[in-house]
Amino acid sequence: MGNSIKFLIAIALIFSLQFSLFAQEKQAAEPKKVEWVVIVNASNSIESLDRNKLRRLLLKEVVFWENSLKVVPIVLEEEDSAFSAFVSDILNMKEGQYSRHWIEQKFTRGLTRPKSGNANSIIRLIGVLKGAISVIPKKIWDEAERVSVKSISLEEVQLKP
Amino acid sequence: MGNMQSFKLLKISALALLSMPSLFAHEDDFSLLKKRIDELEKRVYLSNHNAEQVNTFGSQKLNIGGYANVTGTQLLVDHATNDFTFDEVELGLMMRARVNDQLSFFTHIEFEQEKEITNIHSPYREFDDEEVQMEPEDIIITYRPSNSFSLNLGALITPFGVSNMEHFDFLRWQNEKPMALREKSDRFIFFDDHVNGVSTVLESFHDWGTFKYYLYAGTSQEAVDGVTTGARVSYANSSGTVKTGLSFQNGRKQRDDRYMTFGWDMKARLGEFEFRSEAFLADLDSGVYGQDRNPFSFYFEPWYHLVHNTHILYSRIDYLNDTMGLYTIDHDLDSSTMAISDPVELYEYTLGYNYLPYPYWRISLGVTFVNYVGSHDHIYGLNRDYETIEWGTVLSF
Repeated sequence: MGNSIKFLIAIALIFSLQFSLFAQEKQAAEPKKVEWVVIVNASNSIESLDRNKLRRLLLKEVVFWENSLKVVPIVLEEEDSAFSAFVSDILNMKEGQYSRHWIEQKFTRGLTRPKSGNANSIIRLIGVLKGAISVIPKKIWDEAERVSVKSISLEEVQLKP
Repeated sequence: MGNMQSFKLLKISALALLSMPSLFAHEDDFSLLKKRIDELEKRVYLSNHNAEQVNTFGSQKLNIGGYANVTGTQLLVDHATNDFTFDEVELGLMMRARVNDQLSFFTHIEFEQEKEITNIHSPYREFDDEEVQMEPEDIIITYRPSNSFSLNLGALITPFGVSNMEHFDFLRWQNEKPMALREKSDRFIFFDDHVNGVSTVLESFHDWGTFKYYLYAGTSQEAVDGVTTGARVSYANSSGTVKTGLSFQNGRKQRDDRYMTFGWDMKARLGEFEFRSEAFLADLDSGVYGQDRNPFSFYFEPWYHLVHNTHILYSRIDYLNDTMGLYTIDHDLDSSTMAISDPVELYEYTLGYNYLPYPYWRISLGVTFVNYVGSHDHIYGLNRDYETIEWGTVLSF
């Protein structure tokens, strides 16, 4: 191997050490615990969902409800303080991985990321979109005015590794 | 001044009189007004959230996106001039139109200026491929009437392995694909990455994961009078951390060569560590020479997120036993003589680094050491090993 290759490998290793230390510091700040509620339009007949199906709906893997109505997932906006916990608890992803996932979906399936908003605007949107579904912090749901929106129970089936 | 004060007094009185009826308005009027405000608010929310939509002709929705790629490569060869070339400048334009909930259209058009060095061991460089080309890579009409079934028609990416299905420039850590996927003068070694035809996808959802079954048939882009058929079965676990699949393709290459190719692939994530890996084995029966050949290739590509999806260290070990002599068909010293079959066996060892300052912008630097082995590891008495340094950037939009 040439000297230039050895030089570049050495630089890469120095970078890796530096960023590993930085990454460990970043990982120390874990997202805070949030209690979630799954909400759908009041006209939706569904009463409960398990975590697998919820994840598939939010990631547009499953695109129709049982009555053939199109699923419209809506998620918390990235600026929301609960977004990181949402991605981790509900989608089983890291925050940066969420963006990457939708870039991959754009290329491989031509899909765009779901609409997003703050929890209160999501409640209003779901009230007017029949196929809509979202997951928001329970604290905001308890205090919000709810028109044509209902919560459904989330069956605690753990995602299999 | 006196007149001004009396005028002001008159205005205040008039306003007070006008507001009197509203103070005594019926409760129903308030609720009606509130409903109307709520409705207006909803419309504003909806219009804000539909800001990215463009309605056109008969479709409900049209999305436009793509990527821009600029890549440069430095060749380091002991017995030849070390050349640097910006070997690829490319724009990929993608559109998806949703006609209704079941019917959609997707296209991906490539505009590229390519200057790939083809005769690596020659002191005088020549460039492969056309200099400027525009190619409609994918033109796909999709009919998906249910969650478990979809039908695709058009110019399709063949579902053969994870790297081919994720072959877009932005999704790779470096511009150069694994050796098994590279083509020379539009000729492939293992499988056709696109066919013009039809494919079906069946999906089966379970608590423990998702199975997908692909079947396709179409006209090969290499041998236009041949029909290529193929199948794939893939599995992804419920958390999406492990994906694996088996692929098969059967078709005809140029000069009446029939081939059958089998592939295995896997992509997995464990914390900050991820990898993808594939193996390819082809069985080629040549109609002209009557020779049975079995090219084989394997690669393992691990990467590590130093900072998640921002700083990524990647590597690749890639092996190819090209018994067909296609991969280096033009790699002789004298590019003016007729190209000869050159069956080679080689390894590529790559180490590189990706920096994504934003999720949609990737900057990469990678070095590759190419090591030839076997009976064709020298050419005209010269060691064929060489090194490359690849620099590139891709912006997704």
